[in-house]
Amino acid sequence: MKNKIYISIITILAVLLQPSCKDLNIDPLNVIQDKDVFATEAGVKGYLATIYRALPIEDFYYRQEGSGFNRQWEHFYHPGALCGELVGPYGSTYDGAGGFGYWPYGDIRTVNYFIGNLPVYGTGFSKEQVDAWLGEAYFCRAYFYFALAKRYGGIPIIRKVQHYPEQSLEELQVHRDKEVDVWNFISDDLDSAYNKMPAASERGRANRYVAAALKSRAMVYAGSIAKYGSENFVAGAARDQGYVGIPAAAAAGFFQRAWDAAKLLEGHYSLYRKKTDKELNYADLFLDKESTENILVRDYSLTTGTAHSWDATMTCRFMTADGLSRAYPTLELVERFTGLLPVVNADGTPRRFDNTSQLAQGLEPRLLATIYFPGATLRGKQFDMQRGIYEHFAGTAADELGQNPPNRQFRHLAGKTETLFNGMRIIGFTGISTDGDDLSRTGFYIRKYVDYNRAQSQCGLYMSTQSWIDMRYAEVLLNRAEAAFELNNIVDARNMINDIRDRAGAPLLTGTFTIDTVRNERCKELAFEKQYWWDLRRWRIADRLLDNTKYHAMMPYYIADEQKYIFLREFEPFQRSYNFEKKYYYEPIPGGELGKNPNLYPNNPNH
Amino acid sequence: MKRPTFDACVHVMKNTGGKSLLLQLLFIGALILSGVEKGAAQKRDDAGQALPKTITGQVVDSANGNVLEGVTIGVAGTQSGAISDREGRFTVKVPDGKPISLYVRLVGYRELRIPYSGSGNVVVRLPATTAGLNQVIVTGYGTQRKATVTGAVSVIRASELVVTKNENVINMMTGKLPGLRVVQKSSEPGAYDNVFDIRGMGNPLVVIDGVPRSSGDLSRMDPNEIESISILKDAAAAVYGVRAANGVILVTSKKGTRSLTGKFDITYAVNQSWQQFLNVPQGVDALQYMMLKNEKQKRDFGNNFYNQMPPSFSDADMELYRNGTLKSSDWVGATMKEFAPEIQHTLSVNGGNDKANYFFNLGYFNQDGLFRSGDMNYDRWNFRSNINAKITDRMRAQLLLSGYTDTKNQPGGRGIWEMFKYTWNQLPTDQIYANNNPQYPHLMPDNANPVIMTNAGYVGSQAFKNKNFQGQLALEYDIPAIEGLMARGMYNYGFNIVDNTLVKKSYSLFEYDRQNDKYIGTLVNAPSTVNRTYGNNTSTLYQLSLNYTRKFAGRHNVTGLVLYEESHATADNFYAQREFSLGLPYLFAGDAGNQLGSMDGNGLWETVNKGIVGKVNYDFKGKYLLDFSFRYDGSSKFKPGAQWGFFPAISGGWRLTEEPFFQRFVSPNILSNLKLRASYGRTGDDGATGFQYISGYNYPSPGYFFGGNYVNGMASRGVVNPDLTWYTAKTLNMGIDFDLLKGMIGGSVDYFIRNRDGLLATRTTTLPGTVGTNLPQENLNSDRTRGIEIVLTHRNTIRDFSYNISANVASTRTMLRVVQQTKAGNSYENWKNSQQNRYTNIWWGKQYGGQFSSYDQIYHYNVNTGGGNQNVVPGDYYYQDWNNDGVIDGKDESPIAVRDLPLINFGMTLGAAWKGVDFNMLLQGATDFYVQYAEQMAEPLMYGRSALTQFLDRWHTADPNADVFDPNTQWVPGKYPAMGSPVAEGTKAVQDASYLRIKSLEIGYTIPKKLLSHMGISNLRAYVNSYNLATFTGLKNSDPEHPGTVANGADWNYSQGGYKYPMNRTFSVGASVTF
Repeated sequence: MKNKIYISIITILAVLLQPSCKDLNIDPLNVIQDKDVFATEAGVKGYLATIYRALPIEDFYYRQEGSGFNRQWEHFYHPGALCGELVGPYGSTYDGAGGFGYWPYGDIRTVNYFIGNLPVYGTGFSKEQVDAWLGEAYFCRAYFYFALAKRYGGIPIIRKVQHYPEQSLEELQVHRDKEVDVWNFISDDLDSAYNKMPAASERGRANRYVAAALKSRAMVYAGSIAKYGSENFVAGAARDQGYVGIPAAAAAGFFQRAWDAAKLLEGHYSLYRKKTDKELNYADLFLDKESTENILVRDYSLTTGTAHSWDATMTCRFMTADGLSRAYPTLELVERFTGLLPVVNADGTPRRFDNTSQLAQGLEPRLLATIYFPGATLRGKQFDMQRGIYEHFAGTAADELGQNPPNRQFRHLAGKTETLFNGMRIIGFTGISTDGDDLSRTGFYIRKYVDYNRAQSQCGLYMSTQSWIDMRYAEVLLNRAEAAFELNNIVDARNMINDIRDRAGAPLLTGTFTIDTVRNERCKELAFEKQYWWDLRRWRIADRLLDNTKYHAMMPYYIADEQKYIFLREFEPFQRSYNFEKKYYYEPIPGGELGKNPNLYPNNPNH
Repeated sequence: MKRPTFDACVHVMKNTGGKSLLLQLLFIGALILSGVEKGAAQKRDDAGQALPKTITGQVVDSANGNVLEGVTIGVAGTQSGAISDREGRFTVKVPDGKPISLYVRLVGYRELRIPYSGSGNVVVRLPATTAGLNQVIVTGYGTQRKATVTGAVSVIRASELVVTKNENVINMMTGKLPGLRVVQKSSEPGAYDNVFDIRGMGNPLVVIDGVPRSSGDLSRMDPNEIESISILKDAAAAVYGVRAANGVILVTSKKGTRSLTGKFDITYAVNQSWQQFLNVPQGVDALQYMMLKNEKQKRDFGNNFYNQMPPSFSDADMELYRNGTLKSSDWVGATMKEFAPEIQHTLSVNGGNDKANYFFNLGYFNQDGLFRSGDMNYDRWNFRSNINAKITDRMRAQLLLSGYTDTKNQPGGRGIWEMFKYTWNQLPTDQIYANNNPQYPHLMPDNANPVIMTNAGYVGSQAFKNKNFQGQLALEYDIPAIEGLMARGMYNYGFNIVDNTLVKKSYSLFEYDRQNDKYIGTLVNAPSTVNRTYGNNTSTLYQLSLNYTRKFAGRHNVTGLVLYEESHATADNFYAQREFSLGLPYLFAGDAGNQLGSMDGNGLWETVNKGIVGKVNYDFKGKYLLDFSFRYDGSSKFKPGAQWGFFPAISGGWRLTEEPFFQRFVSPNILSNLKLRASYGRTGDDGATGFQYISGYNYPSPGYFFGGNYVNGMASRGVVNPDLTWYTAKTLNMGIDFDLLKGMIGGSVDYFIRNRDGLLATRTTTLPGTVGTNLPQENLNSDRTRGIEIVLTHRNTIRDFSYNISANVASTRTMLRVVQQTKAGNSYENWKNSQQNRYTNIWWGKQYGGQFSSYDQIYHYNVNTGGGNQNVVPGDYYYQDWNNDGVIDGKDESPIAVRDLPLINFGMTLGAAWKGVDFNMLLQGATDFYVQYAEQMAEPLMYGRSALTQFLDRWHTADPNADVFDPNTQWVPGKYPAMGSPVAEGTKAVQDASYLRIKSLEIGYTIPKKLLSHMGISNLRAYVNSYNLATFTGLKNSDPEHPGTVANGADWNYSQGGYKYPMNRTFSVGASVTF
C-alpha cells in the first residue's frame, strides 16, 4: 500500500515539475528587418513608399501653420488665404507667417539610410536598378532640403546617417550651412537624380525629368532670393554670416540653372489641349488623370483612407453632401484677369442686370474655369448669389458705399435663407449671409480642381480622389519664362507666356513686357495651387502687397421695385486686414531645436 | 530556476501541448484514486485499533453553526492534540480511564476548556471574540483568517456588494473599499465607462477565480454570482510578480452550500430601475440665440471698432420667431428622454450534500439609453455553473464554468460624444424638419441633425457583441504520507469573441425654399456600408501546486505553498467592409467596388507568462505572525535572456492583545484585538514596456501610390533599447488593526509607500533634431506614491434593532523622484517644468482677480491684461499679476489645484435592521478634486454654434444696438462676461468638484417565514433602492464625476471634450424569492 502512496506522490511531483510547454521567446509578427527590406524589390518599394509619403508636397491637405502636412479635412486653411488669393478662416497673415516648425530630419535620415544601405544589401540587383532607386532617393532628399531652404534659408546639411553614441554630442551639434550652399546642395542632388534615373517612371514616382522640373522650380527660387533678397532684407547676425541671404552676384547663375533645367523637359511634356472648349479644357486639366501636362502627381483613394475633401470644402454645402466652405476667391484675384468689372455705368450708378449670371459673360475661359461666378452651374444647381435686397436704389454706387451700414435704410440683409422680404428670399442659397462664413464672403467660389462630374452625394469629407498635380508643365514654362526674363531673354519669356495664354483662351501678348507681366501670368495660371504664398515671399514683395490690406467682394443685390440686379464692389464682410513683416521672409528656426543644439544660433533676423 | 532547466523541459514536452495537460491531470488523478482509496481506508482502520481510547468530535461556530477548520484541540497536561479538518471534525488520543480536560483554541475565538469524562462524540460550540476576525479572506493563491493577515488587504462580500444597484460591478464597489478609487465617467449603456485604481497606483491586475482577466470582465459579472472581492494593496500582491505593481483585485465566485441533507435553494431575484439623467445641459431658444449672436458680433473688436458690421440677424430674421412663422427648436427635448428603464433578472440554484455541492446562476440584464429613438441599449446574459465534488476522502474536484454574452446597440456612423456635442450646440433657429414637415429631416451643418443621427432608421446601427467563456477544472489531493500536505492542479481555458457590426446608411436631408415652396434634398452619408469586425482571444492557464497546512504542538501554525503557473494568450482578428446599394446590410449583398478586408495588426499577438510562486505563513499561537512569499516570474514580452524576474515579499504581525502582560494593562473586554503589522515587497509592471526591444520596421505603415496602386510603407522603429524592461515597485505598508468592546468598535489604519523605479524616460542628453532620431527610452525615472487609509466600524444590537456603521477615508499622492529632463529657457520655466521631487498632477493656472465693472475701471487699470487692454469691455475677467511684471501672460501661472482623480476619497455605510425591515445607505464622496470644463460648457457660441442656457446670465449692453466700445454705453451686469469675451481660465475655470453623495440607499422588508412556509417559500424580500440619490457639491451645472479636461497630453477620449453621456440616478424596486 505504502508503495502505491509513494508512487502517487512521485507522480504528483512529476506533474508539479511538469515541463513548461510554451516558449517565452515570441516575436511580434508585424516587424521586419533590414535584409528583408533592402534585398527584395517589394521591400525597397515599401521603403520608398514611406519616403514619398513624407515628401513635403503642398497638396490639398497642406496648410501653412498648425498641422502643416498632417492630414485634416479643413482644406480651406489654404495658404492663399494668408495673402490675398482668398479670404478665409485666417484672421491675418500672421496666422501662418511663422510656419509650423517644419524640421524633417527624421525623413532625411530615412533617405540617407537608404542611400547608405541599398548598395550593401542590394547586391542582387542590376546596377541600373540600384542607380534608378538611388536617383529617386537623391530626388527626395533634394525635395526635403528645398522645403527647408525656402522656409529657413541656411540649415545644416546632413549627408549621412549620424550615430550616437559612436559620434559625440559635440560632433552632432552641427552648425547651420550657408543659404547659398544649401541651394547648391539641392542643385547637386537633383543633378545626381537626373543622371541616375531613367527617362520614364511609374505614375507618382520621379524620373530624370521630374528631377529637372523640381530643379527649375528650386533654382528660380534661389535666383529670386539672391536678386530681390539683396534689396529687401532685415539685417542681423544670421545674414552677416550668410545663413540667410545669397549674394546678388549669384542670381544669374541660379536663373541660368533654372532655365537650363526647364529646357530639358521640352518635348517630353506638353500643355493639355484635349478639348476645344477652352473653359472646359482648362477645368479638365486638373481632373484628367491622363493629362500630358502632369509631371509629378500624388494619388488618393477611398479604400486606403487617403481621399481628401476638396469638393466638400471648396463649395458650400448647397452643392455637396457634407463639410463646408470657408475660403473664397478675392475680387482682387478676379481683377488680375479682368481689371475692374463693368458694374458701374459712366454716370456712377450701378449697372442693372437681368440676372446675376450676366456678370460672367465674355470673360477669359481660364478665369471661369478657375473661379465659379454667380449663376454658374455645378451638379445641376446654380450658384445662387445674393447679398440682400434693396427696396429701391437711387444714386451712385460710390455714394451708397460711403454710408455706414445703419444708414443704408433701403437695404435688407439676413443671416438665414428662410428670411423673406415681401415673399422674396433676402440672401441666396450660396451666399452672402450676415451670419458666419460657410457661404461665400466675396460672391465667388473656387472652381479649380473641383470635380464637377462627381455626384453631389459623393461630395462628402474624405471622399474626393482627384490627384494633386505637384508639378505640371505650365509651371515649368513659367519658371523658364521668369528665368529667361531675369536673364534678359525676353523673346523666350514671351514665347512661354503666350503658349500658356493661348491655352487659357487669353489674347496673346505683343506689346511691352515687364517682370510684372511674367509674374501676373504665373499668379493667374497657378492660382490656388499653393504657389502664391511662396512667390510673394521670394519676390520680396509681400511686405508691400500686404500692408494693412483689405480685400473686396462683388456683392449682388436685388432691387425689388425694379426687379433688376446690381453689383456693388464692397469690402468682404469680415473686413480683415492683412500685414506682412519683413522678418517673415524667413521663418524662425524652431525653438525646440535651438534648445537642443545651441550651434543653430544665430536665429534668423528679428526672431 | 534557470533557463536551461526550462529549455530541457520544453524539449521533453514539446509535443504534448498545453491542452493535453488537462487530460494528463485527469489521468493522474484517476490513477491516484484507484490506488489510494483503499489505502486511506486501511489507515483509518489501523489507527482505530492502535489507540487505547479516542475522542472524536466536531467544532462549530456558536453563532451560526458553521463548521470550523483548523481549530486546535488539545488534552491539558499532555502532548496529544489534533486540528479540526474541513468538516470541523477531530480525533484525539487520550490516556485511558482518567478524567481529562480538553482545551479548544482558535484565533479570534474564546479559548474553551471542556472537562471530559464520558465517551463518544463531542460537539464544541466555539464563541467568537470578534466576528470580523474570523472572516476568511481570499489572498493571493490562498486564504487567510482576518486575524492573522499581515498585509494590506480589504474585502467586501456579496451582501455588501449588492446593496448598491448598478450595471457595473466596479461602480458597486465605490466607497466600500478603502484605497480603491473609482470615478464613473458616464452611465452609457454597455460602455462600462469608469476609471479606477488602488491607492492611486494605476491599472490593477484583476484576477477572477485565480485567472487574470480584464477589468471589463469584472464589470460585466452578474453581482449575484460574486462571493467576495479582495483587493491586495501592498506587497501581498507580490505573488503576482511582474503584473502586480498596481495592486490586485481578487474576485471569488459563489460556490454551493454543503449540507448533510442535500437541501437546495432556488432563488429568483428581479430589480427594475428607472434611470434619470443628471445635469443634461439645455440650449437657448431661437430669439435668445439671435440676441447672443448679435451681441457677439458687436463685441468683435477687429471688425467693429471703427466701422460697424451689420448684425448677424436682422429684425426680419427675428420677426419670423416672434410672429410664430418659425418655431424655436428644442434639440435636447427632441433627441433625449428624461427617464429610461433598466432591469436585472437572476435565477440561481444553490445546494449540495456531503459529496457534492453546486451553485448555478443565470442572469439577464437590460439597460435602455436616453435617446428618444430607443436605438441605444444594452443587454447581457451571464451564466455560471460551479460544482465541487468530493471524489474520495482525499480527493476533491472543482469545476467552474461561466460566461457572458452581451450586445451594445447604438445608432450608426458616429461616436456617442458627437451626438451630445451636436445636440447641445445645434442652433435653435435650425428646424428639426424642413418647414416642420416630418417627412423632410432638415439639413444641418456637418449633416449633424441630432434627431436623425440618433435614429438607426436613418443612419444605420452599430452593434458591439462580446461572448466570453471560462472553464476551469481543479483537482485537489490530500497526500497521505505527510499530514497537511495537499497537491492541487488547475487548468483554465477561456476565450473572448468580439463580434461587431457597423451599418452606415445613406439618407436625405432637406432645405426648404420658402419663396418657391420647394424642398431641396441632398443624399448624405453615402455610400451605405456594412462593416463587420470579428476578433477573438484565447487564453489558457494552468497551475500545479503543493499546499501544506499543519499545526505543531498546538502552537505553531504553518502553511506553505509551492506553485508553478503558466499562461498563454493569443489574439487574432479581421474585418471586412462593403458598400451596399440594395437595402440588405450584409456582406454577401454588397457591391463589388471599394471593398475592404484586413485586420488590425495590433490585435494579433501572443504572450506567455510563467511563474513559480512560493509562500510560507507561520504564526505562533496566533500572536506572532510571519509571512514570506516570492514569485519568480517570466514574461514573453521581453528580450530573451532578460525575461525573468524575482519578486519577494515579507510581512509580519504582532497581536499584542494575545500577550498576557498586555492583557494585564488593558482588559480583553475593552481592547479585544490589537495587531501591529508591516509588509515589504517587490513587484513589477510590464504594462507599457512589452516588445520594445525589437528593432526593424513596422509593417504595414502608411504607404503611397506608385503607378496608381497603393504600396504599403515601412516605418522604422528607430533606435531601440534592447535592455528595456518592466518597472519595478517596492512597497512598504504599516498598519494597526484594533477591536474594542468585544467588536462593537473596530478599525484599522494603514500607511503605505510605494517606490517605483525604472519608469520609461529618454536621457537628457537630447540629440539635436538634425540627427533625425531620438534616443530610445530607458528605465530611468522613478516615483513614489504615499498614502494613508483609515477604517472605523461600529456595530451594535439593541434587542430587535441592530445597526452597523462603517466609515473609511483614504488619501494618496504620487511624487516623481528622479526625472530626466532638459533645462528650460528661463528660470521661471525651469521652476515650473521641474518635476524632480515634486508631486504629480499639479494644476497650473492664473489666479482669478475679478470682473471689470466699468470702463472707468478698465481705463485706470495699470496691468496689461494681454492685448494692451484695448479690447477689454466691462464684465471681462482679470487675473492677478502674480509675478508683478505689469503684464498678464503665461508667466503668471502658479500651482492652483490638483488634477485628475480625487486625492481624498471617503465612504460610509450605514446599515440597520429591525424585525423584517432592513436599511442600508452608502455615503460616498471625494475631496481635493478639481475639474475644468471645455468646449460648450466653457464657451457660449463656440465654433459659431449655439449656447447653453447658463450663459444667458452675462454682461450685455442695456440697449441692444449700443456701441460696445463706447465708454458711455450702459451695461447690465451678469455672471459671465459679454458674448465674445475671453473665456475663463485659471482659478476662475478650475472648479472645486468636492462632493458627497448618497450613492445608494436601500430599504427592504423580508416577509416573516411563517406566513410563507406553507407556500414552499423559504424567503421573500422586497425593497426599494436608489443609486446616486442625492449629490451635495459646490460645482454648478455638472455632475462632479462628469469628466473635464485632463492633464495636458492625456488621451482626448478620457473626457471627449466633456461631451460624455451623462451620469444617471436610478430608482429601483425589486424582490427576491427563495424556494
